[in-house]
Amino acid sequence: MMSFPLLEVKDISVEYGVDGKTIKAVSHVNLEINKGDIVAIVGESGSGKSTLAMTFLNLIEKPGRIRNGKVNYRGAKGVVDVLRMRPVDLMRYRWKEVSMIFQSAMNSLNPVMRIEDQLKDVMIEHGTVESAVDAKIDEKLKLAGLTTSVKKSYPHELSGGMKQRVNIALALACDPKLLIADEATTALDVVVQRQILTRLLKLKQDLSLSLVFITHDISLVANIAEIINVMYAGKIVERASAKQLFGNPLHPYTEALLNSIPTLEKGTAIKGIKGTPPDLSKEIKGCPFADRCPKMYDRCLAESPELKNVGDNHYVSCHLY
Amino acid sequence: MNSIIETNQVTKEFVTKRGFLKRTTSTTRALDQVNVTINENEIFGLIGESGSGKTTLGLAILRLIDLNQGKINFFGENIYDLKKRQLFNFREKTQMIFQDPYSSLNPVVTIYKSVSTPLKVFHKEMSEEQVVDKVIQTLETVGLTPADQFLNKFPTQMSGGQRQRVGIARAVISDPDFIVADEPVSMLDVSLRADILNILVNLKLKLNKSMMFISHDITVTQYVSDRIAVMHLGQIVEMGESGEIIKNPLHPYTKTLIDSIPVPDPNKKWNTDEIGGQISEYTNEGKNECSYANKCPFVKNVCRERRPDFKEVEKNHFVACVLYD
Ligand SMILES: Nc1ncnc2c1ncn2[C@@H]1O[C@H](COP(=O)(O)OP(=O)(O)OP(=O)(O)O)[C@@H](O)[C@H]1O
Ligand SMILES: Nc1ncnc2c1ncn2[C@@H]1O[C@H](COP(=O)(O)OP(=O)(O)O)[C@@H](O)[C@H]1O
Ligand code: SF4
Ligand code: SF4
Ligand SMILES: [Mg+2]
Ligand SMILES: [Mg+2]
Repeated sequence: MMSFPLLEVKDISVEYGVDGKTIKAVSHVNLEINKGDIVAIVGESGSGKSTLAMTFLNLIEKPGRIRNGKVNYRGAKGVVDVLRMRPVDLMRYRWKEVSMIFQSAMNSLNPVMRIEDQLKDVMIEHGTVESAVDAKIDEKLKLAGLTTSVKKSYPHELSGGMKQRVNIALALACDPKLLIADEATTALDVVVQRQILTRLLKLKQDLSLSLVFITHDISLVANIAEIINVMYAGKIVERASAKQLFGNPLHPYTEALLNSIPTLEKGTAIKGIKGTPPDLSKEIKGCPFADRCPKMYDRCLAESPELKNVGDNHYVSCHLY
Repeated sequence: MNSIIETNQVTKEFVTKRGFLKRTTSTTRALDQVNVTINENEIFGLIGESGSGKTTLGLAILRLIDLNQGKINFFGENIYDLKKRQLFNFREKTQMIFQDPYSSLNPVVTIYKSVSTPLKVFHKEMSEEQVVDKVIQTLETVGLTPADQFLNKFPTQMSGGQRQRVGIARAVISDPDFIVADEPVSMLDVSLRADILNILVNLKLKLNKSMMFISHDITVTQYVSDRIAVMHLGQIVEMGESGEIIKNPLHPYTKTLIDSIPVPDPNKKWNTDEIGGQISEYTNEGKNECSYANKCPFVKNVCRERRPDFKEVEKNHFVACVLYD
């Protein structure tokens, strides 16, 4: 049976205008997320992960601008382009259909409101009946790995990791169908991180929640994601199942990322990837990874590679294939 | 080896007013009789569960909060006894690097202004020209080159890695002896991380700084640290040389921490059946039992009867657990 994607991003490009320069943060990205999928987006800082995710919610604001593309969402009333939604519909869409845990959300909580009131506000505003709110607050806090005693706390009374978990609870407050987690567990120790992520996996199983998981921690992604997108300089350069990507990485950048996973062995250096990503305000001729790529050859400088299926739904954008 | 920081039975409780009319209160013991010694020219790693008190200990060591009990010596002098002038000197000699490079810098203040602030406070005798030179030199130490191009930038115009370098520059410009780095790389990706960690290690190797490196990530911590202490619910439960802690963890909590490090193997998908276990109770109410008793797979009756002693069970390797009595 042909399955229709829950969210379909078509040829999206986003620019930021800063200091008279135009930064091409996202260039011509296509992406599909099916119901119940766990899709990961990995890549270096500045590669455009957060910007891409924000288009899913039509949240790009000045100095940002969506140049072209569509974000089609399949809701109860059929397919709609999120980028053309009326403001009232968008408000509903944002917490109830798709919600997002923002990077650095740790400091986005309202400092003068108790945690329970922040959760309550969001729930009431999106149609939860008053009598059900209390039970729901407890449920969401537990899901996020917090004890219900934090309800009465103000944000400054919580540790960094606890605040991050409050944001996870907030994002789940209205039972969204798709959850976008942008570096949502980066401030948490591995034990708590694993507790929370397995709970999210369970939600996926029980309620067909779909998840977009954005992270720079590629080793984490192996344990949870089904499909992995590797982003570089505003483009998806490789897309494959977790098994394919870890077993047979094709793009030289993906290879470099996998080689930079730190290990516990004493003495092994923490390796970065040599060089820096290209300046996105300049026109890039050829492959954006060329000046850092150990396998670069003449064609790479002259011609920009396209993302293509090299078999078995393994996509890569590199002239070697 | 000389110690630079010595904490003695440091205890910090937070009392929060709860219910309506604020009549009921609840108490969290964020630090519970903490004894640690940090040596000169050492990077001392502090790891532990989220909410276990790591940041609170960092703040206490810099006298940025008050204690309920205990004392903290800096070069042998209790910092909580310091009077005005001495406290001012102490502030110059100690600095903090914060976790979140995205929010620890004021977005409307230029890089020059934020990095030069400590000099303006502690070195009023310096001329503007000397300040500029020092700022440029410091930005270069942390790899922001060419430095003059960064002076008039705002944090929003920089990447996360660059901002974290600014945070480090601001922390080292007044030439402190001791730095608390609170999760300095947790928001950064692997390629930026390696550079920042190397800068921190070089502060120790080349400039002889001492540091407390706070992290929830044991992999990163062992890379930079000479010794590691493991915290759980406000208590230090294990401490030793970093290679030893990794190779030979003794406390059941440390073992779980090491076993939970994600292995990048797509054939070992996490199992949703393992959820069962209870969520941590994040508060320490000062009970007279092992702080890990509610979660420990090896718990025995005696664990609930008293606190296990913190003792040296192998050379320089300390643990608080009855299994090693
Ligand atoms: N100002 C405060 N008022 C009340 N409670 C506080 C305050 N600051 C910290 N706490 C509590 O003290 C405990 C320890 O917090 P701390 O910030 O030191 O944790 P942490 O180990 O740094 O955690 P993380 O890794 O999540 O940052 C937590 O239970 C927290 O809720
Ligand atoms: N609000 C903004 N104003 C100007 N430039 C921005 C803004 N947000 C992001 N950018 C730029 O867009 C690019 C992509 O950033 P981002 O989407 O945050 O990447 P990632 O999430 O992968 O780290 C970067 O060059 C960044 O500097
Ligand atoms: S196209 Fe060329 S430069 Fe780009 S990744 Fe492939 S081999 Fe390297
Ligand atoms: S003292 Fe008992 S409960 Fe505590 S860690 Fe050791 S065995 Fe576990
Ligand atoms: Mg981001
Ligand atoms: Mg902290």
